[in-house]
Amino acid sequence: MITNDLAVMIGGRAGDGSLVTGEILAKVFRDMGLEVFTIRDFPSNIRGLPTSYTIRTKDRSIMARKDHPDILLAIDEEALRLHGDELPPDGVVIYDSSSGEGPPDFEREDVHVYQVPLKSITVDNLGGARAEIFKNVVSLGVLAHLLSVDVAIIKEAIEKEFSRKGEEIVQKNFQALDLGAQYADENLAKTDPYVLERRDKQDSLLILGDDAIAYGALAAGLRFYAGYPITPATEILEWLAAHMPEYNGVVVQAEDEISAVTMCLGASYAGLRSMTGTSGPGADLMVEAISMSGMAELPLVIIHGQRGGPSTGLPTKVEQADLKHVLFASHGDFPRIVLAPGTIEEGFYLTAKALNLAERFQLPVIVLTDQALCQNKQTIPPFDLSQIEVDRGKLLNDPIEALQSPNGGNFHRYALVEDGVSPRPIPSIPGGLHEASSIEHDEMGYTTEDPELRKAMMAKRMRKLETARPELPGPVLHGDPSADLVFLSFGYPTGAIWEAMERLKEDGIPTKYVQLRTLWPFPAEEVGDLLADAREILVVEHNYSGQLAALLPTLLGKVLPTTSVTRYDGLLMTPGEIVAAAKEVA
Amino acid sequence: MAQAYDLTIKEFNACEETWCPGCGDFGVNGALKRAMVNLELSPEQIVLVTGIGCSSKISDYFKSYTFHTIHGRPLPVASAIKIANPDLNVIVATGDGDGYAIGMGHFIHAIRRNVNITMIVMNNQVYGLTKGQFSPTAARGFESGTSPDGSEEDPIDGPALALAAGASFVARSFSADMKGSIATFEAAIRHRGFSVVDDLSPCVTFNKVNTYAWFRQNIRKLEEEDYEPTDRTRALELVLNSEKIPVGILYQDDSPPDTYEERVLKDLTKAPVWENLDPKGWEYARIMDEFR
Ligand SMILES: Cc1ncc(C[n+]2csc(CCOP(=O)(O)OP(=O)(O)O)c2C)c(N)n1
Ligand code: SF4
Repeated sequence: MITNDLAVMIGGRAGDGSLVTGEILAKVFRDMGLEVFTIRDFPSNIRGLPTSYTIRTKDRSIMARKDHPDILLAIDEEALRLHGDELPPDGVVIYDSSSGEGPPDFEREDVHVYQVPLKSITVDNLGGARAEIFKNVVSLGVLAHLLSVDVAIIKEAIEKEFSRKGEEIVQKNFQALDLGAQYADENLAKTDPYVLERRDKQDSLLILGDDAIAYGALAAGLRFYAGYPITPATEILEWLAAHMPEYNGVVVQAEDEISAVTMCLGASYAGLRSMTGTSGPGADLMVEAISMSGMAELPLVIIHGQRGGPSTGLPTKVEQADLKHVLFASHGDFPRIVLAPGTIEEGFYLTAKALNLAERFQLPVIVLTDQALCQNKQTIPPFDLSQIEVDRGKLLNDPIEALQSPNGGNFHRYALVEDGVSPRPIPSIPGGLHEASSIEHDEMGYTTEDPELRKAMMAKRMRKLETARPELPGPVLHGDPSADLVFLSFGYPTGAIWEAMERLKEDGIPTKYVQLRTLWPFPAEEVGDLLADAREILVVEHNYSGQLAALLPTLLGKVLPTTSVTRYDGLLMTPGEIVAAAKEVA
Repeated sequence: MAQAYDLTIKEFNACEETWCPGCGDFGVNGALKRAMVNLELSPEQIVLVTGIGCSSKISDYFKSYTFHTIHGRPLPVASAIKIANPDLNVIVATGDGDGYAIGMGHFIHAIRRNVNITMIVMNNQVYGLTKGQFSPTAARGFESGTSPDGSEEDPIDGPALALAAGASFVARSFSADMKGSIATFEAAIRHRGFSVVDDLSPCVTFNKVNTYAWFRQNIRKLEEEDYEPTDRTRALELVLNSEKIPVGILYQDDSPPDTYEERVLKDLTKAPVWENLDPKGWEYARIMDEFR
């Protein structure tokens, strides 16, 4: 018997309701006191193409995709064709047998196939032209029976999901659920090993990465967000559009990403905490403005959710191939900070931190994340809001206090101060007049080409990186500190690496993991120390060329023994493939 | 209590202008300063946002809060400033390249939003700062560094586009007509909604065709005619069909103001920039229930 450890894959088609079914199932598992991790693998298509939604559940925290789905709810034949081979021995298929024939070309003897006439049950009992959409829910009923899940819990989740659509819809869904459970009870003999047991319900949040990022920003005082819809950052725009007005904040859907990012700089100049979010194609358009943020010394936060590239690439799939972009894109020398959350929780806290860093050091801060973190849901403990601080640095926004401008001239907005961070009055503050400028400027912001002043200004701006360095989130060391087999990565592979490390430990192979949270300025010294005794460094990343591995010698200033572990087919790495890669060099 | 206004245009002087002697941009700077005095605005209440070009250098020469942005992007920057703090008087000063070429996308969308800002386009029909290439407002056949045999492209007309896109205030001024420019700028700034003024400001160095003398012969002043600027269709007809270039207020929507910031902020007296962001003062914990 396998208790409380399984992954259910709902294989359907875009727009057929399998997404909602998956969402309900995730809530049901959560309500049973279990931890949940979901993966939406969807095409760039609204209706018709195959999708899958995988819900993994376990009795302790999970951050990674399971190596394989255990149970496949094959809403149609195609799902079985696509995913049937992924099942492990003893895996389960729930298959729609309405056509009267068994699953075509499916010859696996080692999996448990439950044939249920999903479509016929639905059409015969629920009637109406749109009856078929309840097929998913009938299959939930079957699943509930097989896993011995209390139907009442599912009904609660259904009620929550559909109550705004009216009582009739709720009742139809209940009926569909009962039909499924009843069919299973009367016709199916359970042969598979999977069961779920209810635990004490934990206080946990089942949250989408994008929502966590947006929430973290709001709690950290974000009051202006401008964006242009793009996968996987659209949900940030949508979440904030729904929540910001209540906090006297503004969300603008801009005409393009250039407008979005330059609006953010305008809002920043005026004194608002601002942010934009995008993916690779939009980030390309924002490049010139990143440099302006550096030169005009205006806070800018960009959430960069990577997806498969190049160009329009794999627009709904996971990749981490924009690392070089965020580190180096845009012309000229200027300071920038790049952070990389490894989990949804870090997405919340690091975004809040990014807003502080951008304002304190008056520069662009890019939060580099990816489609999987942005668009997957998982259970996490409630956020600790007491950890959120707002530090606006040297912002001068007290309308009462008149500032002293030297010689009665403009305010020295770009004063050549020791730490590089000059006080920044916002428009309308008496005595604070100055020019914010993308052009090389003197202390008041006026255009200059004076060579000495140019050098001084350049040095002042770049000094901010050194001022900021001690405040930046350092690399995190996970695992056995004395291990000489070391993982190095950033972002979402973190969860899969953790799980791989546990398994390797069980197999007697100790490992450690150095998780980078600040990618720029690169914490060369700390990372160098952590990697010093490594026999082999496995650099794990979702891209073709191994961008981090290739940059490492430059970033560290020394060459260390590395092996690249990469994946770039658009799917999330599994712990299993990391284990395998590690065993090859262990 | 409000203090008596005692500023003169001297208080708006900043760096000394470096434009070529005779450049049309001088007239715009002078008229803008005078308009501010007439409107009794102080430099602190004004934000002048510019792009890149000879014209955009005005942010060095006009004393207020100013923001010299990048080429083509002053409109989104300015729109956001106004949304963040609607108490500010936000002016965009731009060129015909900055505003109508690289920045054209923003032009139409700024009009759609109708943020209460004023856009002054210093239209000299060339790219001045890059030394005289034809611009989107240059006439077909205009000879320049990049059109040695004359431009093969037809020009666009900013006010016509603005009218078609639904702008609530559209005007044209001539930088040598100081009185007219001042009055037009004042009206544009006073207008509640997006206002655009296409200012004919000759480039004496690179445009030897559209000179002051040429304009004097080719413009007609609407103030000297019996023209009511309240009909959009009529304004468009005038701009498109008039043999001479009409100068003055072409169109002003006199219906009640309906600005973007009023729509999104609900309470204009509570500018978001004055909020204390200390998380202790805000209720954020409740949001977590959505995920429970
Ligand atoms: C992105 C970008 N492209 C090109 C330039 C070069 N450039 C600077 S000003 C300018 C044209 C300015 O023309 P206009 O806006 O008409 O202003 P004018 O100089 O005529 O007043 C160009 C092309 C630039 N600064 N940035
Ligand atoms: S080049 Fe033309 S636009 Fe530029 S300053 Fe000289 S006259 Fe004015």
